[in-house]
Amino acid sequence: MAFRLSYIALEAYRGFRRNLLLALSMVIIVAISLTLFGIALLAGRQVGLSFGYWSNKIEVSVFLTPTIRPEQRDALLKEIRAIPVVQNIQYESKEQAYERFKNQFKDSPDIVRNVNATALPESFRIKLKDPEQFAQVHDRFCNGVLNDRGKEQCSPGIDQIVDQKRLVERLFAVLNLLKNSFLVLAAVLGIAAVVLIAVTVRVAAFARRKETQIMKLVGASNTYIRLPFLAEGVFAGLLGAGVSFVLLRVGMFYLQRVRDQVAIFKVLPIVGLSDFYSSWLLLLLLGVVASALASLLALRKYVRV
Amino acid sequence: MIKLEHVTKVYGPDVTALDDVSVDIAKGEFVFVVGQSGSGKSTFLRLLTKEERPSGGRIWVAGKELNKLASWKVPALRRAIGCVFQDFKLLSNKTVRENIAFALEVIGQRRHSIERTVPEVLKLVGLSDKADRFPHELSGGEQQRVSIARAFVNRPLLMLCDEPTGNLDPSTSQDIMKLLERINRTGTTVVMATHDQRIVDDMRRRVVELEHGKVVRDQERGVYDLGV
Repeated sequence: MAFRLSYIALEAYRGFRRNLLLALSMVIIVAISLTLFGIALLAGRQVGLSFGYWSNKIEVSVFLTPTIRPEQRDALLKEIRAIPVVQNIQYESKEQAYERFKNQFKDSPDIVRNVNATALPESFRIKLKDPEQFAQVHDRFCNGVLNDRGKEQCSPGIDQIVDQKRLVERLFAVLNLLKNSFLVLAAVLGIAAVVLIAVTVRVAAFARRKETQIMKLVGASNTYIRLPFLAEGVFAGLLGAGVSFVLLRVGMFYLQRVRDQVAIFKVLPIVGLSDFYSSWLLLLLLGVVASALASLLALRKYVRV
Repeated sequence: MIKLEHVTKVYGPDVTALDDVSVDIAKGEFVFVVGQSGSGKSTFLRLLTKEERPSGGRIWVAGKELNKLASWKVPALRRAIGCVFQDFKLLSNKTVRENIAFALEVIGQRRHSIERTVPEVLKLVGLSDKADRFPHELSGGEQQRVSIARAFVNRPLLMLCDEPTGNLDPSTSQDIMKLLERINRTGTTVVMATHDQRIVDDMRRRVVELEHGKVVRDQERGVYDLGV
């Protein structure tokens, strides 16, 4: 059976023209649900990427009070080094802290100018053998009870002990929540899109029931009868995926611009174009498969032998 | 060509459309299926194109047993059958020529062969001069001839006509019958459901009479009503 591609394309186009508003809403809802799904996908990849970036930089910071005496400092250093879970410990002076800070914010001279070179505390930077064992360091020096200024009581000379992993985890929790919300939204809209496509295809099939009835009577194959309607649904899926490509690409462009302008994000790796393209290919596949299934579902009852 | 063996068709628990019907129709025959409305004539025809499945019994059409025919082979079966209806079933937005060509296009025939066959069949039904008219510009009899042309254009082995003269006046009906007779003479088997008494009596062909879904008469060279 030789199908004429031009015939199918023409019929799909005619179907679109005949029901322009319905077709338009199909494309819009497919585009929106695919875009949301795409955001969720890219956010997921971003989490993975940032996690990889952070995980080998994660350390525990022990900030020292400004009034600490050098011999007190050395005693602390010894004590911490003796804790079994500590892999290595480094001292960072006020000057070193300031250098690092300046380097990190070198693109935002305003911020650097506003921070006094002596404002940053001295600290120990600790790498743990097992990042999960933060408590072993923390509990030895701090009691975990917050006072009314929101700070816990720590041994003399220690201002606070910060688990950067926990900070990062909080960031990831937010990112993950964002991702999951988008996934749920995408799923809900995706269901709506499938229903809309199914209804539209059914309307199209109903509008042409006389033609399809004759086609069946003279012995046209099921595929031949269904293909134009199927094409109409898949066409909507394709166009929707196309629109989502543009939306996501523009979104990525602005995200990149924002990142480049804000200094603290600049060091963060961001999802690249290869991630974008592979995510979008998935979206395209999803759009086409889902719309084809929706159309077939609609036709199963309507245009049958 | 057609064989029914103890065929039963029930719709729901109460309605029996066909009840233990056994009929054998040979190739090239012209058969009337008569009976009152609701006697099962239409169901009889719809079973032959596999639009309906029998509740019991076996059916053979053109050498194929329909119960065993896979659904993807049904289109091939239908290409061997031409169908004509009381309400013509023409597409109003297509011309006469396009209506007939449509039947060939949708089964994937090549354009040049369509362009050759459509004028032939138009000539056969006597509508060569009206090829570019739309159905609503034609009389009822002409529309029915277009519908017959569409059914016959693919040279089917079998023509199924469901009350083809039901909407037509007597003299137009006679023209239609002449046309069907001519098609029958080409070797095409014709099965026609009707309750047009005059036509049946004029033609003197085989008559299968249905009453409440049962075959009450099967007679060569019969008339519509045995009681007359």
